[in-house]
Amino acid sequence: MPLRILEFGDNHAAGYAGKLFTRWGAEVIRVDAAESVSPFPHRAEHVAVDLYLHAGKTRMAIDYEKPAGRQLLHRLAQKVDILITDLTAADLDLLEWSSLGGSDLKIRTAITPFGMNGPKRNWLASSNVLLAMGGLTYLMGDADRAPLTMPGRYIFYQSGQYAYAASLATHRLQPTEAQTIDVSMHEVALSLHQFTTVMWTFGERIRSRHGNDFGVLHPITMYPCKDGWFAVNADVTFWDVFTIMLGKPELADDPRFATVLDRVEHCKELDAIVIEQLGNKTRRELLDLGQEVCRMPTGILTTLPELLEDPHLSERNFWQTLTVNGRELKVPGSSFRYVGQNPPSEPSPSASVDATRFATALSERATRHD
Amino acid sequence: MTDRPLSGIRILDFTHVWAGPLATRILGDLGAEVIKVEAPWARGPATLPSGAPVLNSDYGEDHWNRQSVTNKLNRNKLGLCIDAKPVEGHAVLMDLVKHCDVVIENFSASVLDSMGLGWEVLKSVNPQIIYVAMPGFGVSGCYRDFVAYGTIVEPMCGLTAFMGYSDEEPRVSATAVPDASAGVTAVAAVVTALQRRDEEGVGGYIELSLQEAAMALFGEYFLLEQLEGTPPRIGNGHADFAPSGVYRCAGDDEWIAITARDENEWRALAANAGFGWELEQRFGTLDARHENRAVLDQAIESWTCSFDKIELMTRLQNAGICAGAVMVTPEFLQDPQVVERQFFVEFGGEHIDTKPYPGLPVKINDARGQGWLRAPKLGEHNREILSDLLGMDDASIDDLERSGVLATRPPE
Repeated sequence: MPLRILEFGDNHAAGYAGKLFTRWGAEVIRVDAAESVSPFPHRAEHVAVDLYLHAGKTRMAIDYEKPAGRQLLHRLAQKVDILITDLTAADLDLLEWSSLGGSDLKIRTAITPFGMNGPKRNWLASSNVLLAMGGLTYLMGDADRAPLTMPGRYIFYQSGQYAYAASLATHRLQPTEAQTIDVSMHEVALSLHQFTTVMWTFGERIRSRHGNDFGVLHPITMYPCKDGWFAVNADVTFWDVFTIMLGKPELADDPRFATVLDRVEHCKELDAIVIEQLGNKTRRELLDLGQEVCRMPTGILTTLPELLEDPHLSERNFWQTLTVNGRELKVPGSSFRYVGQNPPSEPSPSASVDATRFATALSERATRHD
Repeated sequence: MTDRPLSGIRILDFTHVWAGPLATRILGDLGAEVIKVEAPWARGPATLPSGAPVLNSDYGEDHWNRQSVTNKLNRNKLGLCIDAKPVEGHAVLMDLVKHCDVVIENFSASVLDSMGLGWEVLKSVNPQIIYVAMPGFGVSGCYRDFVAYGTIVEPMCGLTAFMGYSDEEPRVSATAVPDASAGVTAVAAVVTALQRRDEEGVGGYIELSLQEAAMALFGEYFLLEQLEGTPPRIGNGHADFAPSGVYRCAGDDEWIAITARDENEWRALAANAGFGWELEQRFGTLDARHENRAVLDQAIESWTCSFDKIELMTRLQNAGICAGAVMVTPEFLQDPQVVERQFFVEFGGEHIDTKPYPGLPVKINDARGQGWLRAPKLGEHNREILSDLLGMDDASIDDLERSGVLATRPPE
């Protein structure tokens, strides 16, 4: 029998964890909050998020702010292996989180903004708040302007990945009683720094923001070109070859750029040379020159329509098809796959089911299995 | 029950730079026994040239054992420093594969193959092995041989197409999002493969590309593109919420992020500011606030700029408003929430001062970090691994050391 997961909450983190469970064969029952007030339920972005996260799940809506709704949620939880939610800690208290689930329950996973304990356990968080308090916002954007937040749901989805992995790993042990997993999205943000923390703890330096520059080494940045932008990563290993890509191998011996520190100090002079030498080329020409000719880490700013038609991604069968109301949409496929096998296909969106009838049917079905 | 659910799983770790070591650090935190394989030159030369980049480290004796990022990424790992090129080194690694559950690497697509350590070879000595490859653009496709770091993959994963101050001013995250994306994704991949091996009794060859790992974390934008088109770059604004932004506070380069996610939070924010914004027609509805976003943001910033960011964050959160100070390292290290939950863990040793490092953002049964080990020195566990795991005697290990196959010091 496949794993059965009950997923509820509205912050997209549990939704992403549930998506991974769905993709890899689990039966995921998603409970939407019936009374949640969304001022923008029909906006295209919400439709896109809903399709992306919840295709293939059994959907139902329950008003678990009301006693009858809570009772129903408790009934559903009786017959699942894993509970996964991204409600806040305060909301979980109201639901009596630690008593949710029956004798079959193996894992109770809560993905909350700040974790299940601590003085901020009941604080609220949006994506930009998590990025800010997690130290990432300060690193993004221009030095002389407001730091820049990141659009999308990056921290939510990363939290969902952590939750999926920890839940599945713990489930492998076949525990005899329910195990609790506590994922803090704030801590997830703090865990996704490369060297921000150690710059301070080892060198008492606060990492700062520098527009498109990485800031620590140069040039690791993005430059404008004829039809857009291109990116290079000319760290120590690739500096010499970058001078060849520039068509100016003599720069390898130029004292202004002799060391990493020199290149950081003279970054404006260097940037001017790069733009003069390469700025009149197209992205495609630069990708070919960088990757094919020079074997140099080079990338290009690729638009969403371009990615949807990208030959590399097509050749890899990355895109999957989601059929919605007769219309075929391309959706990102699995971010990992078995080589030599077809990637897992994207399940179709499912219609919502009646919660009470489903709970009864689930109980009956589970009883038969018992 | 344990807080280390992967106890008993052994991983042979060929990863380097960031994405791969992040993955194996998380796997180690979850209890796997990770053997980190490093070439003798992996941490740079023993004698550094003048002006060499020593990021947050020093030039002293054994400097390679005190590198900041190395120590940050490699806790809970055993250190094996071995040159895989000589036949003796290759043989040791092949023997180790027989004793491992997972092999993981993040080289370019064909590097491990060229070292005689590719999937087909490893499978022949251990049919149960799970092999995870993490190249920048995957093991197939026309970009498979591209030289890739997270920084150059990021503009090719979609995020940069809608991130920036304006449509004319795209910005990268400067945090190499594809690396962090792939690192956590690889953990999910390993656990998925272990589960399948439990059920079906077979290992497998898994690949994930930095590009696709990052694209998956912004996947809804590709659907949005087909439904409505690419969203514009709107700086710190939010497609749904208004107000939502990053606002100046008192002090130099001090900021706070605030988002009113619904009408209740908006009214609470307006009441807290006390300027009667909620009564103004131009801010009366969500649509109106979107339309007048620039004016609203200006009004909010003229209010926030006189406050200390931490005090204002606390005040707003206490009033039920979603707000968070833009923090830098010394601030979040001392955040009471972080301190109480003991997220940062301290490690040190005779060769390195004790420092706090970011922990695992997951608690299992309210526990984490029990029995964690500091990062190994270069080749610190050479002898232990070869003796305990492979049953090699001292004389054989001595031979490997003398011939330079095993090392505890980089070449000059």
